[in-house]
Amino acid sequence: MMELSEHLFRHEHGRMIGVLTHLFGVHNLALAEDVVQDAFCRALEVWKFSGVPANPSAWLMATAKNRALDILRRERTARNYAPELGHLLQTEWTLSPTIDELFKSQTIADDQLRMMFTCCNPLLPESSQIALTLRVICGFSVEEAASAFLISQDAMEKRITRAKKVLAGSRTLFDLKDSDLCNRQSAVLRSLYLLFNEGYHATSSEIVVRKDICLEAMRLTSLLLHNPTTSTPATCALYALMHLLAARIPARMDEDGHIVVLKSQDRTQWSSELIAEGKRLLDLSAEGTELSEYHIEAAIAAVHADASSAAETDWEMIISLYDSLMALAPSPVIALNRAIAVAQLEGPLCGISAVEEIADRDRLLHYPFYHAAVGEMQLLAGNCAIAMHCFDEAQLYSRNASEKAFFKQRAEVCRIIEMEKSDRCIPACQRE
Amino acid sequence: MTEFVLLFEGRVPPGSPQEMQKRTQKWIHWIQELSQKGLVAFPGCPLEGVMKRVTGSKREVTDVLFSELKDPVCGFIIILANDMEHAVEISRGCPGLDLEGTVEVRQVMTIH
Repeated sequence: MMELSEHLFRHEHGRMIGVLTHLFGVHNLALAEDVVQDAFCRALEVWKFSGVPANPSAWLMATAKNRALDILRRERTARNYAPELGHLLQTEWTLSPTIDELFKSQTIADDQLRMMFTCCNPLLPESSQIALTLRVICGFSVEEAASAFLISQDAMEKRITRAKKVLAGSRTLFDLKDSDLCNRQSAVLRSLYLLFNEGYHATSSEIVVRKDICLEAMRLTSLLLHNPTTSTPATCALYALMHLLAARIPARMDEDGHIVVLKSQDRTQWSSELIAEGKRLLDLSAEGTELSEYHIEAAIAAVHADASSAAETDWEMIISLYDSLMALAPSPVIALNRAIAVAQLEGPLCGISAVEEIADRDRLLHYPFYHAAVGEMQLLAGNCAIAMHCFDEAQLYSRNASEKAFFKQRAEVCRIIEMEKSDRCIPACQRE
Repeated sequence: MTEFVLLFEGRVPPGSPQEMQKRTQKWIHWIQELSQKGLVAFPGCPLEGVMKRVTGSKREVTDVLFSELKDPVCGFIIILANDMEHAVEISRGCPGLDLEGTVEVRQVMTIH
């Protein structure tokens, strides 16, 4: 075999890190990372001559296991390892069986999940939780993570270093049988949701790495679904939502890398496989009584998926779903999305008044799509000058070149319409 | 065709999993390509980092710390090439060079 499956190393990284931090203790994360790096180096040195082994995952895991054994034998007393394993690692009699037990495939899978739960420590801000997940579980380099988040490498380095310090305080992996599981699980789901969104708002130049993030978020969510403890209706709903949104990725950008908004997307480009799978998961998530915000968001995405165009969308249904979402988890961004749906159903003027009724509207002032949404409504209402001003504001707060170019182009459209209008207003005799 | 030993020198700098996978894949492709062209005389092998050095008439044995070597030899392969120029041309394709590694090209002496 000569071809490695795509992202093999990235996926194995999370598995190896999980089991190694279980063994060494979370406070020895750096040691675990060294062992993983070592396994990759060894793979490079050996596979270049011998080709890829029949089971590359098992090969990497066995290499990491041997290296861990070496370290434990050599430095048995030099460090404190995982407290709950400490005494078992002290003598050769218990060392090998303990390690054999840890490196069984079910334990490896569980440890990876437990590491994910450990990274989503509530002591950390959400932005750090997702940076840490990307770094520790998916093995992104600081550079890769920085370009994914569109922040400087320095800033990312600092964020990860600080987060690792908090992580080191854990010593052992989060226990999935813990009474805190419920709280921690919602933090994990939220992290994966944010991670997905981070990738979903892709822009032309970073499209490759950012699409990778969506895929990673989906992969990690699927891991939660494979474990009976973490496979809850909310997990299933989140996975459904990711499928339904990912289905639109091919249509979200034109050939020149410009943003295409939902209502102008060529819906034939949407992935019918992902939509079908998303709907299947959404049905599955309805078992039980739990209704999470992911259920509602997925339901909204499903309504969009069912419509052949923006005009034929069941906006009434979407507004009522947004109402449920507002009741469950109110936020000005959700209220804005609701107002956009109102504008679609009842016209731009109703949309504008819905915007004006948003509580905490000032929190949206730095959100470029707030200004853009109002701009679109004002444009439809025939107030081109106001609309143009809105798109100028949106440009001011745009977060990347793609967004900026898009708002600039919308402002230009307003300017042209405004000019044509004023042309028409000038009496014919004065036009010469 | 004459045999040439290619000694691959220089250690692998750390990299993200994605980066390490890319590097591994490049090496595999390169050696596979040489092999398909019938240019490989001996498939080569990697070398462990543990080293001892035996020196001089006193047979003095010293430990060598791999981490202290500037450009350690990490592996070798024996290829077939028309002449030194051809062997050098082949070596230019080595993926290790992209990571500032070195390939030492040595002709195997032909004994008539």
